[in-house]
Amino acid sequence: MNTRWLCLRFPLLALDICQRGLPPSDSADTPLAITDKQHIFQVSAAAQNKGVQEGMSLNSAWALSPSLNTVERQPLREQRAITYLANWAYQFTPAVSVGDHNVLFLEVGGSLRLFKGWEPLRAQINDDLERLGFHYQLGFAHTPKAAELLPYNAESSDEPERCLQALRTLPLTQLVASEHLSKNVLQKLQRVGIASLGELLDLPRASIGKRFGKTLLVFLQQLCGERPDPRPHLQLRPEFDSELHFLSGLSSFDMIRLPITQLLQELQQFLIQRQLSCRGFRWRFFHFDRQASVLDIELSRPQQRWDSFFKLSELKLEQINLDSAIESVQLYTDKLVTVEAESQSLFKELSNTALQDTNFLIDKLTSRLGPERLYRLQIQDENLPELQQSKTQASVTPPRQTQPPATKPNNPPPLWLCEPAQAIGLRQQSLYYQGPLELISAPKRFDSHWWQQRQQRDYFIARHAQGSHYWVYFDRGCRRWFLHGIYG
Amino acid sequence: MKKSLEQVLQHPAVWQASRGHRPRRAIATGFPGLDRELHDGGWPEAASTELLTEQTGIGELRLLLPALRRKLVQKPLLAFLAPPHLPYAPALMAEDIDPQNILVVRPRSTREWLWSADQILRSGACGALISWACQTALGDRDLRMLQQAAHQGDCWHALFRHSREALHSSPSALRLTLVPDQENPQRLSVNILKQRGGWGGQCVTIALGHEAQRHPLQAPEALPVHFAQLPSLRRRSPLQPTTVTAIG
Repeated sequence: MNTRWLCLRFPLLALDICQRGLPPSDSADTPLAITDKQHIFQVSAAAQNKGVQEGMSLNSAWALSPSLNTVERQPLREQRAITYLANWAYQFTPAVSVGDHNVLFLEVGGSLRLFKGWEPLRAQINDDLERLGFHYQLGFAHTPKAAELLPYNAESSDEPERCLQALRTLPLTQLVASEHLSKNVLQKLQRVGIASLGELLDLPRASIGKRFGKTLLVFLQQLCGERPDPRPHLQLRPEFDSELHFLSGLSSFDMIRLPITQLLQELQQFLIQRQLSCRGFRWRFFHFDRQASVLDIELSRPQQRWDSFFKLSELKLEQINLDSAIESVQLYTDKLVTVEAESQSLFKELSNTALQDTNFLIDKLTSRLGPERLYRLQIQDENLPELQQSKTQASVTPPRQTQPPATKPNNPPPLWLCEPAQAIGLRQQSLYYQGPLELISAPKRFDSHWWQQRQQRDYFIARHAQGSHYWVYFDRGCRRWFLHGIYG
Repeated sequence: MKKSLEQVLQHPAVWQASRGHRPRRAIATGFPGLDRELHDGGWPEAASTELLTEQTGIGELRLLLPALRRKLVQKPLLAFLAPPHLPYAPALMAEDIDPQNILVVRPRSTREWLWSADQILRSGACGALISWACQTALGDRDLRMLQQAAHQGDCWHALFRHSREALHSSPSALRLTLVPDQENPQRLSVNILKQRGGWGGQCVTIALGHEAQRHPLQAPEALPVHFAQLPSLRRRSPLQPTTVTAIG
């Protein structure tokens, strides 16, 4: 199998990170520059029109364009963006590697047939990157180094001879800029009158190694495909992490909806490509005052659809404090599971939609009210009434209990339980709770927990003068009466 | 003119006293006496039922159990919104209702209460919503919204409110007051304030079916030895000794 390398360069990565969340009209109007140590590093088209250029000092840039927005370069952000892009590129080939200077290498020799040729593949890469909002340059050749150096144009070809032919005119100074050649070696080469790559390739290889050092020889051999150029493949991490930045900040809930939609759509695409579904995710909103708001969304069942993610996120948005505008929005999740093959049975369809309704309802309620405000009850095998049930998370549907209902006792339990049991007093030798109570049943004894703290209780049904029925007990340990249930 | 009037009369929401009863979907209450008095023959489906009561402990929830059992067959989820106490799972189990099918929701405020009720009713996931609004002030608009939501989500909504609300009108399909019976406090007296499809004002006394198992209290001195230390209580009725069950 022929290896074919595709190289994606992101020359304006730092700028794209700041601009990709904005609508195109906004990014065209606001002049923006990325600065690196008081110098202009990257410039947006709007700023370029005002005369701001890369490498300029910050002061001269401001002199040219007083309305210039500047953002300090953050290498960490760039690193995260390139990791994100590498994960995105994984859809085209499993052999993705990250190079220096914001470059991705994709070995697509095996995938060309899948994508029905080179042109459809290029078109899809172009569509995706435009939608994601990244500027890029493409190279396509038989070795990674050649792909990195070759600019893509209509005549591009992956034939080794034609690639090398196209590379011949490349001036050596450009190799220095891309750090393939050291300045020292360049000077030596210039001294002997070699200015372009073609002239260098014509020299006998053996003498190059001797005269200009082994590094140059290895570079040339790898460029021509005479020596292997191993690249570490991207190790996929099971997580999704994407971020959008906003220069002027987001100050209303309406404004937040847009980036949320965009990020969730990216998440959905990620999930579909990896055949994963998501059990929950985390929003981080970074404010200008360096505070961060965090929203965690949990799902009762793994899902893939962005619109249901959106509805759940929307419910929680109100919790964000918008006193200080939001500078960036981050979506992160590592709660990913492989998609279960859903049963396609005809008869299960109905119950599946009912289950989806239920899950969606529970997710919604949990998002707005919090998980502690929602529960189901599960029966426990215990003696004391207050221990006979436990609250479980509403989203978990435990296996059905097939406990046969106990034979009806002579002292049936009430439908309501007081939590905890309420102490009640005696008045004129009669039990008194919001009025005198009268015991109307035989006692039922619970004697348990002698291994811990012995509980000896006699339960009675008590009737209030106004007709309510209560479940009361006399605790023989502390010799007091308690109200423990209500016959609702 | 006459034709358009005919059209209006055809509308399902229009009831003419002269035409008699038009049946609507209903869930049998499980108490034949009550079913007879309700024009629909049971609790109205996809609508709000208001139960007005002043106190808990009169069997108000037990009144709904037969209908809930029936509802669970259709959809395996019920919701309890803001119940006044903790539901006691073993008692529900004994009544043949799996407590795991009950979703208990505890909102913090009236706003959350209304939002949750609306969501649950509209979702179509729950067969019935039992809600307690004893501490929640509901306006006419809220009730109308709930009634609408119940209709949309095809959900039976039983709403407990304080009996003072009987003075105010309400858009709910059925309104009842629940009081313990004067003569036999173990029975529940149900007054129908308003119902769809006909006149209200009926009164039914219902035996909830659990008093038969109750036994009169024994005199403390007649109890077996291990009960002898009970503090003496004033006697209210002639007492007869019965057997004592001791568990554990």
